[in-house]
Amino acid sequence: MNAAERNLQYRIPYNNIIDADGHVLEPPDIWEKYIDPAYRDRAICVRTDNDGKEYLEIEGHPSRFFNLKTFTLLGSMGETAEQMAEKMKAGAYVESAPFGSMYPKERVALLDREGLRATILYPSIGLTWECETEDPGLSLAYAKAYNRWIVDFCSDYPDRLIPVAHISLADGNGAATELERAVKAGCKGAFVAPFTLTMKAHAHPDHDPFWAKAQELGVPVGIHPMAEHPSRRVYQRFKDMKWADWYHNVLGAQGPQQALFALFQYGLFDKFPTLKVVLLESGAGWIGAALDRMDTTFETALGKSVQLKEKPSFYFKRQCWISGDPDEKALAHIVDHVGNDKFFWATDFPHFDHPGNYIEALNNLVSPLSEAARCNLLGDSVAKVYGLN
Amino acid sequence: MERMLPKTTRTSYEGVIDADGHINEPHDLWEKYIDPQFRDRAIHIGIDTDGRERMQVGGRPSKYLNADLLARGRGMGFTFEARDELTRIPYKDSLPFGASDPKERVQLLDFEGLRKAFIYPTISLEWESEVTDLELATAYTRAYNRWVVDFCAGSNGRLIPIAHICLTDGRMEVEELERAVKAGCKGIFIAPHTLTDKPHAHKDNDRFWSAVQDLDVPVAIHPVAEPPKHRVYQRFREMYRWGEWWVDILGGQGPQQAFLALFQYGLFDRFPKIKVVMLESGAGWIGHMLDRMDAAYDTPLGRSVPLKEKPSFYFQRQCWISADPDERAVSYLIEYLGADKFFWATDYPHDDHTLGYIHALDTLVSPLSERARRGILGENVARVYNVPMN
Repeated sequence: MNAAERNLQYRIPYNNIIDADGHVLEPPDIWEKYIDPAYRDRAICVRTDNDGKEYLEIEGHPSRFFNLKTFTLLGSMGETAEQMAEKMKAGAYVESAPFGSMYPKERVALLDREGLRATILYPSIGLTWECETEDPGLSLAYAKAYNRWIVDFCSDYPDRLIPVAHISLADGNGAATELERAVKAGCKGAFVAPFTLTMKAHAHPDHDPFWAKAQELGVPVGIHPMAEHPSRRVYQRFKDMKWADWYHNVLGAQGPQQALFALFQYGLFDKFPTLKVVLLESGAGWIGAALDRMDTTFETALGKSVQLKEKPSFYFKRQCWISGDPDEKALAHIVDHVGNDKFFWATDFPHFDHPGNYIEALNNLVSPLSEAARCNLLGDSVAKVYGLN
Repeated sequence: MERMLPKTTRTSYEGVIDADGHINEPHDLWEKYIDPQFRDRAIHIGIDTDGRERMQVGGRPSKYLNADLLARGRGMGFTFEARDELTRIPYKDSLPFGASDPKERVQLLDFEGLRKAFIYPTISLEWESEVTDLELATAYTRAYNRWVVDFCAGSNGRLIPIAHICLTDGRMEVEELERAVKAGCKGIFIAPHTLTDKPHAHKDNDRFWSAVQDLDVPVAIHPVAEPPKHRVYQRFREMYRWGEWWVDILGGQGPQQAFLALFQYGLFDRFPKIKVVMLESGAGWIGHMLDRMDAAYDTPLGRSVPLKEKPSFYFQRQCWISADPDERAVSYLIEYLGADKFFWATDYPHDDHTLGYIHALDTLVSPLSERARRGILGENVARVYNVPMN
C-alpha cells in the first residue's frame, strides 16, 4: 500500500488542518520555460548523453551530486526498498510521480480525500541544486523561475495550494527584489537553504536588505533542509560512511539547527523585531532542549558574543515557529511548555524519508494535546503566521 | 590565603550524585605519571609568544590549547572580562576550589549536599584534537588514568574515577582499559571522534567493545575539542572566531553523531550487554531523536541499519543520558521516556554553565514523581556504574 492509499484508510476527526510543508515534484522543464531569457542557456534541464542516458544539467554542466534517477525516489513515500529499486531502474521521474505530486488538480483531490484544508508547497528538485552553484545571479534566476512556476501551479486553488518563494541568499539586494516580486505575484512567504552560497551566515549584515524586505512585507521566512555541498555537510566525523543512509538522514536537522542558532548569534531579532522565522522539516521535539541551552549559555561569559538584549527564548516566542513531524511522539510533552502557538505540522509528502501513514500519526500526535494546542498545531498557527484566511 | 568555596547552594534532596564533574589536571600530571619512554613528549604548560600560557602537546606548542581555552576550563561563574583576566594568571595559581585537590572537592560535595561525583578531566578533553600517534595517545590516557585513581583514592568512595580511553583498533586500548578498571576506574569515556576516523562501532574496534562488555563497565561518550576537519560547524565562514555562543550550543551535535553511528553499525545486537552513556550533550533532545531514529528506520533507509529491533528498543535496554540541570524541557520528558534513563551533572568548573546548578537541579526535579526524581538525582547513575549509594 502506498502513502496515499494508507492515508485513505484513516480519517482525522478535526477541522482546519493545514500541511505546513508539502512538496511538489517539479516537471524538469520548468526552468527552461520560466527562467529569464538571459539565463536560458544555463537553465536546469534534462539532457541526453551520447549513450542515450538522461541526466540533469545544472549551470551548463551535468549535476555533480545527483542523477535524474535519484529524483524518482523523491516520490516514493510509503514504498518498500524493492519498489524504490524498481523505480530507480526505470528512472522515469515524470511518469512515476505519485498522485497529487505533480498536478494541482490531483493535489487538491488528495487534500480532499485526506481531510486537509490546505498545503503550503515546497519543491523537490528545487531542494537539490543550490549546492551546485556559486553564481549569485544564476541562483536567483533559478529561484525566480521556480517562483513563477509555483504561483502558476497554485493559481486555480488559491485557498488550498499555497505558494512560497525560494530565495537563494548571496546578494542581499537581489534577494530582496525577488522576494518583493514573488510576494506581489502571490507567494505567501519565502524559504531559504540552511546554508548560503557565500558561506556568510544568513543574518550577516550583507543580507540585511532581504530581512528588511521580509519584515516590511510581513511574510515569514522558512529555513528548509536541502542537499548540501559535501564540504559543508555536518557529518564529516567518520570515514567510509557513505553507505549509511539512515545515519545521514537522521542527522538532517543538524544543518537547519546551525542556521537557526546563527540568527540569534548575529542578533537578527533585535534588528528586525517583527520578522517571522519558521524552521521546517527538522523535527520539533528538540526545540525545548535547544532553547534551554541557548538561554543558559547566554547567561555565561559566552553570551557576551550574542548581540541580543533579551535571552534567546524571548525572541523565539516572539518571532519563531517550528514544524513538527507527525511521527514525533516526544513532541506532545513539550508543546505547552514551549508555547502551544509555536508549532506547525507537515506531511513531507511525497518524500520517502518519512513513513506514509502521516494522517494516522498526526492523529496520535495531537490527541493528547489540549484543544487550544491541538487547533494551533493542526492549522491555526500556520494560518495566522502566513496570513491565510 | 584561605580558599573560597564557589557560590553554589545546597540541594534540598537526598541521594544526589554528580554524573559528570570535572577536575583541572595538575600542570605536571603527565610529567609525573607518564611512562618514562614518553616523558620527553609529556603534556605540560609552556609560555606562548604573547607571554601567556600555552600547553605543550606531543613535544611542541599545542595548536588549540592556549590560555583562552585553559581559562574556559576553569572559568565557571566568571564574567567575560574576568575570564579574560584569568588567561594572564598562571594556571597552577588559579585553580578553582575542589578542581585539583580531592579534599576540597569532598568539602564542596558536602557543602552542596551531594553524595558523590564521577570525575572527568579538562585538559584531557583537548589533546585528542591534535595527536595522531596512537602510542602517544595511549600513554597520555594511561598517565591520566593513573592520576585520577590516585586523586580519588582517599575520598572513601565519594569521588569516582573514570578512565579516559582512546580507540586504537583494539590494539592498545584494551590493555589500558583492563589495567584502569583493575586499578579502580568504574567506567570509561571516549571522545565523539576517533583518531583513526573509524566509527566507534566499526568492527575493527570490536575487541574494545568485547572487553568493556566482559568487564561490565559503562562507556560514556563525552564531548571533547575536535580537530577542525571533524567540527560540525563548518557552515559559515568566520563564525568560529567570534561566535563562541553558537559554537558552544552546537556542542551536542558531535556526540549525537557518534551516538547515532553506534546504531547504524548495529553495535547493540553484537554486544547486547554493553552500557552506553551520553554525557554533557543535554538530554532534552533524546525523545525527538529516538522518534526520528525509529521513523527513518521504518522507511527503506532503515535497510542500512543492521539491527533486529527499532533503535529506541536498544536505547531503553542499553543507553543512558545525562541532563544539564538548567534544562527545563527535560522535566516534561523524563517520565515518558523512562525514569531510569537519566542522570544529571554539574559540569563544574567549566565556563559554559552557570554556578546556579544546584538551584537549577532542584527546579528540574521538583515536578517529577518520587521514583523519577530519585532516579535522575543519583540512583540511576549508581546502578549503571555499580557503585553504592552511600
